[in-house]
Amino acid sequence: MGLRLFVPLDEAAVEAGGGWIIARLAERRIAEAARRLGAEVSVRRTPDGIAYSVAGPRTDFDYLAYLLRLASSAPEAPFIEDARLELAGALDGLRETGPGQVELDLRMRTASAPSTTGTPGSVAGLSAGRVLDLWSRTHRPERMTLLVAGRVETPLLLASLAQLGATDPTIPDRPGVVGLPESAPPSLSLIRRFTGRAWSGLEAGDPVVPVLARLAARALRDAPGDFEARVLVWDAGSGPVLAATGVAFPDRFAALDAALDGLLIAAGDLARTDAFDQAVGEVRREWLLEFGGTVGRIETVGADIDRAARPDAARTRLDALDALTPDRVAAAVERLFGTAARVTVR
Amino acid sequence: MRPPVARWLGRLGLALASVSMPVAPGLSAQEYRADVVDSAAVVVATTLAVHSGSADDPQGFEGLTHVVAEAHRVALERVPGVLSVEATVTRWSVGWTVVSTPAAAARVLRDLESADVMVGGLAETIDDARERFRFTAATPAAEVDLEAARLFTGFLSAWARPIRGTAQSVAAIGTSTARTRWASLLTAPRALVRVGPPDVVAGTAEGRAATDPGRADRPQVATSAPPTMPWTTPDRMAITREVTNVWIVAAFPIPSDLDRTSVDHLVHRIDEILNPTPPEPGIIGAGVEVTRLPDGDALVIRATVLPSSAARWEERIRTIPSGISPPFDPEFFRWERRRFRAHLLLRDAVPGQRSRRIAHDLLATGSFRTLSEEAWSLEPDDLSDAAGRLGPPRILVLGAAVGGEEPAG
Repeated sequence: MGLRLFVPLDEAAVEAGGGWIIARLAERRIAEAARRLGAEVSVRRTPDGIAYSVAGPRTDFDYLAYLLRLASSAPEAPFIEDARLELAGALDGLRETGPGQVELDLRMRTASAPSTTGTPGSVAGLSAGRVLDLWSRTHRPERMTLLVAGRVETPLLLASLAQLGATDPTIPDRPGVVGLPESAPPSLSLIRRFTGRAWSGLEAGDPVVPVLARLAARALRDAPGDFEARVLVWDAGSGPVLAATGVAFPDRFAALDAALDGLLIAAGDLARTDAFDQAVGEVRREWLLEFGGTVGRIETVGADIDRAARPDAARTRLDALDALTPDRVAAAVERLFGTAARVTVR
Repeated sequence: MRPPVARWLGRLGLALASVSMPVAPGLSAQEYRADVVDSAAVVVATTLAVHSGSADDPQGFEGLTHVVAEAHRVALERVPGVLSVEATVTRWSVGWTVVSTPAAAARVLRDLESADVMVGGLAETIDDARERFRFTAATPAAEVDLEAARLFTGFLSAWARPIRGTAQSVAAIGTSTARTRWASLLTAPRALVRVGPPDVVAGTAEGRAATDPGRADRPQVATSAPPTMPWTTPDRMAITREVTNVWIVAAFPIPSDLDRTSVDHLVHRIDEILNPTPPEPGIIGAGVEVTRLPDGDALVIRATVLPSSAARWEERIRTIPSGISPPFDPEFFRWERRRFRAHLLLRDAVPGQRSRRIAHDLLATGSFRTLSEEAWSLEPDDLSDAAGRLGPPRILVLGAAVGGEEPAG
């Protein structure tokens, strides 16, 4: 059987990255306890919150419920600084490279909500008190969604999970909007040039997104010129962002620039060829294989419920993929024209 | 009225046809079919396992079964709706596990046993196999596997030939040889198992109700022959090679009457000993599995270690079974058994792994297990008894500056 507890997070700008720290510490906290039973566990910081999942034999339900309580309990104050340093190190590592600077800059330009990994400025200010306040404000039983895969009696379920989350009746206030001091990225001594584009306006759960991403990746592979490039998809808070980043030596940079500028048109053209069926097949394969195993199943179904607030959202998403047509991809490409954010690091 | 086995299977949500128990090499062809209802499954997993492997390759055509397995895998991957295909070749068996959409399940079932499916790209696949062979045949891992097989089965045994063949033997394989081998596989004992949602697999024979398999009775298989094992004397072979690591392969013969779930429990326990968290110093990787040999099964431990700790690890591996002895701390055993049970059930929750496990069970013994019941019934004595009944090990050590001392005891 499997249990998935979802806690929505609404981080204020000064708390951005706090959810990542809560999830990281939860992951560490339950790893050893899960090993004792051989249970499968997963803690994910999703764009909307934190998903805690556990899976094991039904007869071990009591222990699975304990793991869930342990996972969603308050982060240990002495370890928060360790996790904060880990996150700050990862962000600094990104800013010290050309591709990292391009990606971070694109993410900040397209974000309509704080990034789940925060910004260098927000992470620098994440004290233990601020992270504990974020946990206490968000980890309230009345805000949580529990997904159960397998049979368990409701009274037993409720009794086992009665002590979930924060019990302190005092709920900390959400911090207000304040300007964050963001340091300039370090100056890099680069031989090659890095650039990227990011397009906004897509809908979460729309199968157009992964299909278009695959078509764009194929278009980049086919594009003339000597450069390296890749396609990324991330959630910007208001929906998915399709991005492409690349690197080339200065004398070949024009070909990369042209390939990225013409990427949407090239991907749209590919949608009228056999590449469309191939891309749809790849997405279907990836989505269906995500349902293998208990944790994979509750993670996938749960993520769709979080997004669409409907129990049949996963089925609807698969049906939408089956109904997808090249015309719908072309229409999505039309909508993306003119939305591109551009970043270049020389 | 349905026969007892079918009635038992019906309670499990299973259908099994053409049952002949038990299966043994040399018997006339048996075909086992099982449809297993998994009401939570979104995909369908279908496994075809055949009781004939690389040891049946004709001399001079070693690697033939592997080539045929690859050709069939590639052909099956082209079937619309197929999500993944895994081909496995051992010395005694070959199998394919196909994960597909429910809509493609019927075609997969048909194509798995069809000779027409792989004909299209057979020549290209054979060329690919030859090309891949150039990069994989000469690795230390391939040599370790071959030398271990020779130590465990004898240098002249067909079981001691390389599963993937040699450069010469693979070059000799043509499309007609491959087709002939495929035809011979279809006359060997085999198991065809499907795991999937009820609207796909419940339409077969009696397997309609998806009920809790945890309450089922076990099938009774009468055995009267005295237990046997592949060997009764220890052996050790050391091969020196100018490589950076040391490979240790130790095989402990398993008595033929030892309960399969007890053996699986032992495998799980040894795996925990070999792979603690954090890892022990000196070891690069280690694993344990049950391997079939011509005269029975063996529990095989494989480890890759640093040369400086090779002697210590060899002794450690040699004595692992004797270290699993009572009295166990009851608290330790309780948790250990829970971990084993979780391991079995979580693995079985993945359709592809479940269909492969059931097909293997059927092919090896003619019956398959209800894992939740099997794991609960284990007692501390079962684990120590299983460890204590393993025979003396045969150990291969291959690597830099390995010692040549005689086997103990």
